Amino acid sequence: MTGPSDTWPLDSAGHLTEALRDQGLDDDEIAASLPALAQLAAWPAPAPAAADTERLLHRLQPLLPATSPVRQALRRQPPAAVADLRALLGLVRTQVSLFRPTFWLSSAAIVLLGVLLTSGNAAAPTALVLYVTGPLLSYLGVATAFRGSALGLVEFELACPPSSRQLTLARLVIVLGYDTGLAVLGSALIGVSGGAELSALAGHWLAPLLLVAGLSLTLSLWLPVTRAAALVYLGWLATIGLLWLSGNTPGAAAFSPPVETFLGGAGLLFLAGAVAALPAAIPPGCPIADAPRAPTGAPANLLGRRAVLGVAVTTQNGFSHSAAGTGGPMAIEASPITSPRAAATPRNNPLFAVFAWELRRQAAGRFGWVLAGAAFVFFTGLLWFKHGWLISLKDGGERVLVQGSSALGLVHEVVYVELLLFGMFLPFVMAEAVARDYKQRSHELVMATPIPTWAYVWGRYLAGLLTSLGFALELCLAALVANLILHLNDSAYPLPSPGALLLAWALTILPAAILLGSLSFVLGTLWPRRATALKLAVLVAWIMLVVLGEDRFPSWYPYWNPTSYGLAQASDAAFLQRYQAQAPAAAGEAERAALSRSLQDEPPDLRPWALPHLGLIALAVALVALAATRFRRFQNVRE
Amino acid sequence: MRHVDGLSDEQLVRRLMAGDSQALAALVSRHHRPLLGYLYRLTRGDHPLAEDLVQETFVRLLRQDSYQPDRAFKPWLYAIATNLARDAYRAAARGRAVCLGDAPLPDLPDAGPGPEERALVADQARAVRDALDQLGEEYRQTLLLRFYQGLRLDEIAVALDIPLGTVKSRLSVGTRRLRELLTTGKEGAVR
Repeated sequence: MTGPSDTWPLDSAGHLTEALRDQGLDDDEIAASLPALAQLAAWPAPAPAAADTERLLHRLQPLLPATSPVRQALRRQPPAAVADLRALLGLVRTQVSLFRPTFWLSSAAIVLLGVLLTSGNAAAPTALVLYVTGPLLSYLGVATAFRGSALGLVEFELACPPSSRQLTLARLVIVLGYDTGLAVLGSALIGVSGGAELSALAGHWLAPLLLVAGLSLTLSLWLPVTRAAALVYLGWLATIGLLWLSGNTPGAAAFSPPVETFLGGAGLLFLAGAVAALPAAIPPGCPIADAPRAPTGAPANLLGRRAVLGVAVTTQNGFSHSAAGTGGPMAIEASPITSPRAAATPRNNPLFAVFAWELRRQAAGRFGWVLAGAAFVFFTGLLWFKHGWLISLKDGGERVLVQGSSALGLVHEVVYVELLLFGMFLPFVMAEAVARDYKQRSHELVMATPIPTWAYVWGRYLAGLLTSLGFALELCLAALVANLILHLNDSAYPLPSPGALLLAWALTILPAAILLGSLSFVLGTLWPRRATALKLAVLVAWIMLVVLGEDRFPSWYPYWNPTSYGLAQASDAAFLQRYQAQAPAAAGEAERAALSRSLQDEPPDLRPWALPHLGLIALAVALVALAATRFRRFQNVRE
Repeated sequence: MRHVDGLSDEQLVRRLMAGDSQALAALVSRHHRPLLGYLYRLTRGDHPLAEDLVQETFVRLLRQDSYQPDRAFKPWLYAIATNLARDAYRAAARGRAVCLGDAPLPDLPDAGPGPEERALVADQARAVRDALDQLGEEYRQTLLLRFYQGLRLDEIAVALDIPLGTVKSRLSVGTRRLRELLTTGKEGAVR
């Protein structure tokens, strides 16, 4: 038992007086109140014994927050505020690892493409090219940085101590920082080659880049991020195309620096708005288990649940989700060997089953379709811009323009534009056909099914090959459409011949696609854990083949070179030889131009390449057959 | 527990939220006695009820993860205790829970005086209790927090969730009324 003497202010009249004065009482009031208040000490309160306190503690101990040492450590050092630059940079450092080499390389390739198309070419519409390639960087960056929902990793992201806003900011710093660096570098390269002023070029890159990034991120509050980015990019292309067709050439009002400044500023505002809206969209600590589930194929978004850092990733249909996303263990449920659909398949051939299963998986993924659409738009646009080549006569005295839509020009387009870029893309399509299972830790599960090894390897290969050939066919179509538009806009360009185009495509792109795709597949299948490095190795080898050219190799090499540069150069040489022989008879510039167009329209003789390129295809098939026999079903089991 | 002794209440409760049992022990040791005194007087001397409320206050404290580190701990603790006592009163008023106000006075420590002096002290204690009992609930809470628990005016405002001016007016009115009750022996509560 205790009196109140242990509590302030009743222990002394001085403290009591002071307390009453604090309350605003005057001296008379205080003097009158003191005796009464002093009596309060007469009512003591019980004091708990030490044993009572111990008992209380004993009862409270089980209610202590059950937290792991790790969680305790995190709570002691909570994530720093966004304003803390050091914390943000630390977060950026951790997020860098999320970006695969394909992102870094693809972005660099896009910038390189812009530089190649504009540098040293005074006639090239520099601003227009940069307006097309700059936002493509945004699309790629946004779609890569915020792909967490498509990969089914949102729960992990939300379980991280940093908030969704912090994660988004960190990733934007990476993407926009890298893109800006590339754009400045690209501008410098174009500027050095006499393109334009560095600041003007940087404006051409950065203004649409920021605008598309901002709009994509904002739109991703309502739509899946890849769809939002694709829509914004396509919308931007359409706008630019309309402006271009309506005569707003670079330098006109629609492309002036003030407009670019406005567009860039608007992009930054959209970015800030989207970032600010994130916490409202995903409240911190949002119970994922309680989040509504998005039906398969339903539009999923940031507010709705599946966009930038969306909430509900789990779909009601595991097969569709895995097929649309990453494959993974759920793909086992959809195995054609075990699924009801496969049981009902009349052709119960295991090769056909694996092939069909893989195609279904690819068809269910949105990314493939978006990529196909983007590739078509990209190549059509590219061929639209790069529709002529100046080649020189042997004596160097005259330069002849090869028109893209002519028979000779189609060979140029197919070899120098489409095949060059398509070859760089192929390893990324084919190398992971088998290696993907290792990456997603689902290989053992797939191998535990009764699928024969040969069917597994060949099925995956054929499905990948079919996809690659689909992309290759798309290139053929893009060339046809681009040249058709060219012809409709300028009658000087002849109507493209589908036969000539198909022949050039069949002798150049088709064998190269099969060879490169097969080689990438074989390497990725035999060494799946090194698939990324092998993809890059194939990519580098392809670039080396392009760079080294034909001159330093034996005379048979141009026929076997999968880049088909020998084919294109031989076609040029044959054309120039005929032109040089007939040009002296032509009177005046107009007649020589007509002669040039006429000779270009004659299909080049490509027959000498048919057999070697068939040999390349045979070599590719042999390599795959070898890989199918050498493939070890359980590579991680030590016998 | 020595390494947590020098920490403030706010630092301790932060550790407590992270599951630190030593912080819990330090906080309970520090506040068990004053909290029991407050609730004992608030419940008009009902010792078992006060013990229950003390335990429930700490339980609520552990279950709440809404504590903001920049918030003062003591007013928060007394706010929980006051609300719990208020709920107990309401339950009693509905006749479902406890019967308040008839608790016997506690035994006084044996300081050596004779039975007559002890009886006199007990009478004084009863008079104080009765006087406080005749004040309105809000005045009693304010006076207890001020004169028994020693909370500052701003802390009382936070604990009772009322403006500072209201605290001052309640103290002024409550003090004057208590003085009247204790000095004149007149009855009548400020209602």
